[in-house]
Parts: sequence; C-alpha cells; structure tokens
Amino acid sequence: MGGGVMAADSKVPISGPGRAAAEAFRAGGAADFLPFLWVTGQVALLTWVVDVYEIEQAAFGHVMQLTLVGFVVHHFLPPALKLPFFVLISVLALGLVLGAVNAAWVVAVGLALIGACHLPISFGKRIAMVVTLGATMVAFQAGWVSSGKISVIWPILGSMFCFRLVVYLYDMRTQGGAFGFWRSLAYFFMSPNVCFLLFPVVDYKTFCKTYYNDEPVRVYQSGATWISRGVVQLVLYRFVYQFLVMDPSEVASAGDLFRYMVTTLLLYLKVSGTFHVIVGMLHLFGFNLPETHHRWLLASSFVDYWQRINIYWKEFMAKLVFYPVNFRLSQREGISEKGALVLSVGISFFFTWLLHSYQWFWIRGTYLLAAPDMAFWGILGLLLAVNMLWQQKFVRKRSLKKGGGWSWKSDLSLGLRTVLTFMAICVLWSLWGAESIGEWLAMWAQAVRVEPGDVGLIGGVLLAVGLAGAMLGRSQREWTYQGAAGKGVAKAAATGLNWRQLGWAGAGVLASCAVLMTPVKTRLVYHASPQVASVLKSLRTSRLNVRDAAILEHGYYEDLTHAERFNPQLFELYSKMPAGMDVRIKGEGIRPTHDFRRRELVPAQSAVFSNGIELKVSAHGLRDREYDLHKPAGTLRIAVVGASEVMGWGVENHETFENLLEDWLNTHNTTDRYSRYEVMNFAVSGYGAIEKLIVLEQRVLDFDPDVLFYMANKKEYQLVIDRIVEAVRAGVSLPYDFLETITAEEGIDRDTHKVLAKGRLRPRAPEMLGLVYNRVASLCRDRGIQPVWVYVPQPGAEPPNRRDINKFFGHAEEAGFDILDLSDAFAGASTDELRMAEWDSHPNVAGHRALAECLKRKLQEHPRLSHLLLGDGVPIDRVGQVFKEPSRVQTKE
Amino acid sequence: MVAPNQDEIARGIKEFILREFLPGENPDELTATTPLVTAGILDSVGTLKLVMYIEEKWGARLSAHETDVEYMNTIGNIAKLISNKLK
Repeated sequence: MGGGVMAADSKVPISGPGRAAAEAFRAGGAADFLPFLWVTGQVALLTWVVDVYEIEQAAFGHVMQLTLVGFVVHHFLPPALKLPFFVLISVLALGLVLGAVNAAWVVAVGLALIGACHLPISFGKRIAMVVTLGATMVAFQAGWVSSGKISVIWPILGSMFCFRLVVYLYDMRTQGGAFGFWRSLAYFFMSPNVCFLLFPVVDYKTFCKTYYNDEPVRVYQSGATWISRGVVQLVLYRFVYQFLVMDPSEVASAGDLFRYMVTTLLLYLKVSGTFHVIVGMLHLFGFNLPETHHRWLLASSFVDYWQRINIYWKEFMAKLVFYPVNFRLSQREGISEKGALVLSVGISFFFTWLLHSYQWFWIRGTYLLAAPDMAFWGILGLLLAVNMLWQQKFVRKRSLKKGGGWSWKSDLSLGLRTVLTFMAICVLWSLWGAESIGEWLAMWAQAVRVEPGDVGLIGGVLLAVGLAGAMLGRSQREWTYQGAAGKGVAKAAATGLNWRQLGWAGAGVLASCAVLMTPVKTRLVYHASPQVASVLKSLRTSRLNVRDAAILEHGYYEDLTHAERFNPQLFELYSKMPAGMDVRIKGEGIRPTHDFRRRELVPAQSAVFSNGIELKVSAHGLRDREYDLHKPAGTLRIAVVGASEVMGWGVENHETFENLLEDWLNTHNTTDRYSRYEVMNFAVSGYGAIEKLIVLEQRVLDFDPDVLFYMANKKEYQLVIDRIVEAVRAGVSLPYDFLETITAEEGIDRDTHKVLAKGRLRPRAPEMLGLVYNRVASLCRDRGIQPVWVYVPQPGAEPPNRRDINKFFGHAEEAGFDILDLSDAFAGASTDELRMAEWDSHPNVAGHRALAECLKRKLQEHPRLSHLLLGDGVPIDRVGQVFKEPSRVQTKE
Repeated sequence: MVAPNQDEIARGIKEFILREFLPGENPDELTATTPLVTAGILDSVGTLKLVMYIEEKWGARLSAHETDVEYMNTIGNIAKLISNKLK
C-alpha cells in the first residue's frame, strides 16, 4: 500500500529460507539448535565485554543485556510475533534508559508522527500534517516552548524520526516498501536508538527487504561479528583518543602535523564502531541490514571514499537528492550531461552539510554554522564532482572475474592511489576538525620544521596504508547499501547452514573477546610492562583525554560555541547534559575585571551555579564564611588559593573541603596552642598559577596568614600558557616582567594566532611555572608564611600518566614548598559518587568530604606540618618565626 | 513502430555494458542474472550513463527511484522494467 490505512502485517514478516529455518528451529532439531547456541554464546560474551569496557556508559550495558535476553526469546517466537516482540524490546529499552514516563511520551509522540503519515487524506495534506508536528517539536527542542521535565525526549525523537520519516514518506510515495503497523513501529523504534543518538539512516525499503532474507543463524552470526568489530573499533578509538590525539598548539613539526591529521581522522572510529554495533544488534532480531562502513581508510579515490564511509548516508543522499536532481536537470534543455552531474553532486553536498546541521539541532538543540564545516563539505563535493567527471570520461577498470584479474602494476597503482586519497582525506578531515580556518592554517605554519624521526613516521604510515590498500582495498561493491537486497537473494540461493562459515566467523568474535578481556593485572602483562598494563587498564573506562577535559572545564567559564563540534567524546557528554546545565555562574557575585585575572568575586553579593546552588560571597570578597581583616589573637590563619574545585563549584559554602578542614581543626583542637583556626578561601574559578600569585600579592597578604595552601591541579602548565595567550591577544598587559620577557622572546603579540602562540610558549611552560612558584614561596617566606603546595585531583578526570604532574611536584619542591599530595583522595570510591555529573568533573559534596579527609590525613602524616599546625611544640607567637626558617632549599630568584 | 521485446532490450543493454564498462571481457560471462550493482559494475556514474542510454535508445523515461538495486542489479531486471514501461 502506498499510504492511507496501515495493514496489520505481523503475519508476513518472514519469507524464503528464513521462514523455513525459523520454523525448523521451532520444531526443536538439535542440529539447528547448536548453531543458535554457538551464536548466543558469542552474544553473551560480547555483552560481558561491553559491560567491562563501559562501552557507551552503563545505559548501553543494560540495553545490551536486554538485547541478549530478547534475542533468545525472539528467536523461538513464531514469525507472527517476532516484529511485535522487537517493538516491545525497543519500548522496554526506552523505559530502561529514560524512565517509564519519558518512554511513554516518546511512544505517544512517535505514534502521532507515524499516524500522520497514514491519515486517509491526500499525500500532500499528510506531509503538511507531519511538518506541523515537526515544527511543534522544533519549538520544544529549541526551547522556544518549555516542555518541562520531558525535555529529554526531543533529542531521542529527533534521532528516531528526523531522517527516517523522510525516507518513510518517500518510499510511501514511490511505493518502495510494504507498510504495516508493526513493521512501521519496528522501523522507527529500533532498540539501540535510545543509547545512540547518532544513528545510521536506515532505508525503509532495505529494512523491509532484508528482514530474515537469509538463514536466521547466518543473520545472527553476522550480527555478532559486527558487534565485535564495532567493539574493537570503539576500544581502538579510546586508545587513539586518550593517548595519540594532539592539541593543535602541540604541533611543532611536520611529523606532529601528520600525527594530528591521522589521529583526527581516526577519531571517526567512534562513529564507525558505533554504527557496526547498532546494525549488529539489529541483525540479532532478523534485520539483515548491510554494512554501514567498509574499509574506509583504504579508499582509492574520492568516489570510492564516499562509497565506503557512512554508506547509509551516501545511499540516503543518492536516493533523495542526487538521482532526483540529476533526473530533473537532465530533462532540462541547455543543461549538459556533465553540467547535470556537477550540479547534482553540488546540491547533494549542500544538503549533506545542511542536514548534518539539522541533525545537530535535534541532538543538541542549537544550530551548527561553522566555516570549517562548510569548507569541508564544499571541497569534498568539488573533489567528488571532478572525480566523477573523470570516471565518466575514463571509465574505471571493472571485471567479471573474481579478484578482477589484477597484476602487480594494478596493485602498485591501487596502493599509490590509496595513499594519495588517504593523505587528501587526512588534510580535509583536519580542516573539518579545526576550530577555525585560521587555526588550521596556523598549524600548517608550525609544520615547516622537519624533525629527524618525521620522515620515518610519515613514510612508515603511508607505506602501511599503501600495502593495505593494495592487498585489501580492491573488494568490489558487495558491501554497498543497495547491494543488501541482492546479497540476501544470492545467499538465499545457498542451501542450509555452513558450519565452517559459522565456525570461522564465531572464532573471530571469540578471539576479539579473548584479546579484549586479557586480565591487565596478570603477572605476564604487568611484569612485562607496567606502562602497557596501565594503558590497557585505562582503555576500560570512558574518560576525557587531557585536552577535552580542559575544553569541558573551560566551557564552565567561557562560551565555547560548539567546542564539541568535531569531538565525539565531548559531543556525547554535551548530548547528555540537560538544557541549561552548560550555563556558567550567573549573578552579581562574580564580575569581569578586565585585567589578567579576568574575573573576581564581588563582596557581599551572590551568584548561582548551573546546578542551582548559591555562591555566597563574604564581605571581603571570599567564597567563604565571614572573617575579620585583622587576625584575632591566638588564631592560626591558613589562606587557600586555587581554582573552581577549591572555590567549591556547585556545593554550598559549608560543604567545601577547606571549610570541612577548618571545622575539623577547630573541633579537634586539644592543644590550647591556638584558640582558633581560620581557613580562608581565596579561590576563584578558572584561576591558574599566575592568577594565584596575583591574589597572594594583592589580597592574601592583607589578612596576615600564617600558612598558605597553594592548591594545584593537573592544568598548571596549561593554564599558564592559555592565560598568557588570551591576555596578549586581548591587549591586556602581563602582570610580571619575566612573562613579558618570555613572550617577547617567543615573538608573540596580539596578532599571533593562538595556536602558534601556544605552540611557542609550550616549551617555556616549565620555566614560567617554576618562576611563579619561586615567587610565591619567596613572598611567603619573607612574610613568615609557610608555603604548602597541595595537589588536588579531580574525580575521574586525572590524566592516565602523571608525567606533567610529577614535574609540578619537582617545581614546588625546588621552590621550597612543603608538599601534600591528595592524589589518592578518591581511591576506593566510584567516580560517579564523587563528581558533579558525567559532564562536570568538579567534586560534589562526597568529593569534598573525601578531599577534606585526605587533607587531614596528609597533614597528620607530614612530620613538619603536623608538628607546626597540629602538634604542641610551637607557641602561636613563634609560628611565623619557625616558618621563616626554610624547610628545604632556598628559592632561586 | 513496434516496441522491442524484453530479449532485444536485454541484448542492447548487454552490448552497452560490455562496450562501456567491461571492454575486453568475455561476453559469455555477462548473463541476464549477473549482478551489476552489487558486483560493482554499475556505480552512480555508470547508472546515470545507462539511464541516458536507455532513454536515447528506447525512449523509456525512468524515475529516480527506479535506479534502485531492485531494478538495476541484473540485465534481466532492467530489461523487464523497460519492457513494462514500453507496453
């Protein structure tokens, strides 16, 4: 039927060999049951791997477990019940992840949209109805109309309907598929969709035609294989993301640029892996959908690349834009065949860009408009059009023979073309990933230097790509989306199950699982290389790399428009963030300073954190209790300088770890040496080492503290570099002469692109941080203040290696600080219990308690500090004198 | 003018495909059921070329959705589609 009323179609989903096989299974033959058991074992193992590796967070682990149970039950159901059962599994998955109320809303709105497509009115009116409903959803998703607590449903609905509805209506119009109640529900409510908002654009016609178009166990086996391939790709992605990806400002040579470009391209493993998992899961319910990607790194031309990467999207565009536009243009007078081809490619790429932005809107609620995006799609479209014209004129070699009758010359040619295409795609991809075209160009400017190892690195990678291209890149279009129906028919011609085929495919899955599940703490791995063991361990959790953690944290204070634009990890996090949570601190309690510090707290005012907690500022401008300017007699005063985690981002004043410490010190003060302890919090969000030094000089000293707690975090180098570059580019004068000298030596002025400026300052960061630390320690000693350097970790956001952090300790020790390392403050507790949210690594109330406990313990364990602060050996009037005696080495000026 | 039958159309398409995309290949290996799209013989550019040829040769106008693999994957299917259009 082409529209109108839907048929109750659940009786006719399975045909051909699939139906016979399904019935045979229900008859219970042992010979048929064993292959099914073999695949079930693989799926169970994969479910375990997904759980251990926390693939796509806990929600997906639950959906995978549901899929495993659903897969077994579904298989033994009669054909008429299979589609309704799949829909039930999908609805249960929705409920599992979104909760019953939200799931009910998703189903209700979804039914309304599907229903509108089938109203017994003209097709044009049905489209008008669907557009009206869509516009209403746009209003909710954009926040023009509040949808209250159910706002979480719009991205899910958008992901389910924004493209599939278009395909559905197109196929309805062109009579492209069989329509029915359960079939339609199954098409829109696909169980993995609730966990993966970025979803392949499944074609309705293919969805229908490939349903059990092959032996069921063979369909299931390909599902298990694809899930395993997807999981392997997602773990590889984690490795690339956590250990290989570079920041543009780190690019300092041709080798760095090459690494940046290749790793940026490899980040796509996230999408490729996710799509493999999604389609693999659908296979377990009989949807024998084709591959979504095929060896996309080994394309030998731009057309080939377009046919291998996100194949569903390419087919979607070909079906809805390329062919219709080309057919129309070809029929017009005055437009040549070549002109029609170029125009239809151009229009297809324009829509590709537009629809990516449209998809972005549904997932994020904002519209994406970035120059690198437009440049990427524009250039790729142009290259593809030229490539197609070339192919039109010089027909590419095809062959009817299996393997294509290749020779070493054709292998060499294929390898070379693969290398050239790979390079071109890397360059284009790096442009797409750049924050701006200026940043991209600045990176290239850094790459004029060639380091000794660069030639080996570049040559080695390109040789590997060329060899792989020559050996593996020549497969024909069997993987293509359009090929699915034909492939199914071809396979259907084969009789019975091939145990050998199943055995090999299953062995591949088991081998992948075995490698992934190698215990990292075994003697073999750990003793062979603790570093390898550490890398393997860190791959088991989904975490932000250092660069993205910084971007995310930076986003708390600055408006980082589309920071996550080309960043799957941040994209995922931001997608989960409820509306409004990305807003920075609001209110009168914080204001810009227009100097190096950029912001400060406003005395006796208040502000509100994005989670609704109030930030109350004291009369002296501290995020703290009220204290007198003059230190009361007998009081030991500790001043604390730090950033947001110390200021107490998102927790109440009395819940900050410095206040918990103060409470503990006063409660347990049994020595009578000090009548009172005061811990004064001078921390302000976003402050780095230089700002902390400014605060010490301009504010802390006025309060005559006895001790300074300099609270450091993992960003000590980075914040020094970032702040200097921001200040210079904004025309703000630098607060210290040594900073002026260093920036002048590096040739940095306000016109230097930030990527270049950061790249030049990066090697000088240790020197600058050391100078700042020396100045802090020296100032403290001169005033009789004991400087204590405290390392404060962030729950779940610490870098996997402590190379830089260990250097911070070295600088602090050299400057003469006493050191307290709180790195193990969060040991033994799960990250989620300690941090604000998945997208916010600031410690929550429990996190602050853990920090306070750790700080107390470290103070008690520190011989000198416990003696001076907690012990009974030093009278209060001599504390300052004792502190004037340097604890370790003199600072260097 | 008498409309060509399905076999004649199939022969014409086979000749075109051998000439345009498979020069030098053994004609006997290209049958009415040889997969074209799924085997990579017909890609987007090839499909457009074939559609132009069909329009010029037999005056049969195809719709965009008829470029689907369902219609285009074998010479037999293409010939059947055109034959039905010319009836």
